[in-house]
Amino acid sequence: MYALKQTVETSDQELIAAILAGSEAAFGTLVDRYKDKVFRLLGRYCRDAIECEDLAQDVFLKVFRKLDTFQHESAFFTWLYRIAVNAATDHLSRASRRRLKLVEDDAVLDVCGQAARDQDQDNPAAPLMRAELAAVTRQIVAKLPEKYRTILILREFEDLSYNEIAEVLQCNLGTVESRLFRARQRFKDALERNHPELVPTSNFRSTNPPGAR
Amino acid sequence: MNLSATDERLLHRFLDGELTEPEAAACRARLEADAAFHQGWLALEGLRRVVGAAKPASVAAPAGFTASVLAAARRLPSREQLRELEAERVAVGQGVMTLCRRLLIAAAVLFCLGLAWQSGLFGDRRDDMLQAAPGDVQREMDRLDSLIQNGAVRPEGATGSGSRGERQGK
Repeated sequence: MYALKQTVETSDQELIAAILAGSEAAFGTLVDRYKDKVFRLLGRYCRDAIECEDLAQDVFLKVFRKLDTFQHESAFFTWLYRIAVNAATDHLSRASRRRLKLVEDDAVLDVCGQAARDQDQDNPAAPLMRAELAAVTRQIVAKLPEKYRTILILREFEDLSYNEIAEVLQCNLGTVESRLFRARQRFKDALERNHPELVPTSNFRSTNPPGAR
Repeated sequence: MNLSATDERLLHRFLDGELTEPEAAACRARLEADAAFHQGWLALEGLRRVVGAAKPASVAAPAGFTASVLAAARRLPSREQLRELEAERVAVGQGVMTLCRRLLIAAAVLFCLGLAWQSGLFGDRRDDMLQAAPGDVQREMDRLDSLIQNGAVRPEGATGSGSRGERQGK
């Protein structure tokens, strides 16, 4: 176990410089800082939590090995995400024919379920419907081609901006925009084909006002 | 709902928060004035909610994950060793590439030589030679001798009897 812990305020750049100078504690802090994000991202590509942990460890070891090649041209987390996405897609292609199966962690589902229960006390069927909707959504996302699946995950689940996605995927903004547009279109087509009852119509009521950047 | 592709893309960017404030204000104004545009927005927002249904609330790495990563990192070669290994790997790769390139060039040269050989560029000048068994040669020699002895054929360089005028019938 590493003895010295860096403060939370230490910037990524400072940590990277310390790691390159040989500080194991700095690497520990960096791993601590990003491990949950990496787990959440890789969870979309793995069959189970053990596979996810192995993959996450590979990602951080790769970061450790390649850290001296990080150019500081982009944010560290987008570089880390790029490594994680590449590792995940490589992993999927190695396990050919294996389809994406999102981790259905009981604890995670329980968190979702609790939030739903709080909201839907007057509708006992609502959590069940929500769970079914989540399962259907996961299935559809799993069957999308890899490039559409990845961009949907980065945008809808990781809440990355177009610029950040462009940095992670190393493509331009126009590509991000059009690929995301097609990914949503494909998702909608699949939903219409397999679960037409779930297709949102224009009667769908919005609760959030539209925002701007 | 019949929105043009441009309007649909505009809605996507609007919902993703990718418009600047003036662009978003214009979009909001249009949403109030244009029913089809508003319906398109509602449908897209609904779709995003369906996609978002699969988003887990939070995922935490297991306890001891950092320690296991650090332990694995400790087993890695040092950064200098990694650099040396990488340089070695690159050098080996370049050596293999050079060897492959040379083999490819040699194969191409051999192929071209083969083509040239097949097309007769390197002729062996055997076209004017006859091949015969020794028995056949002997028989042919005997036949020619008998023809010469019978006077049917005059050997090259031999002069016939009589003057040129006599031979020419003069």
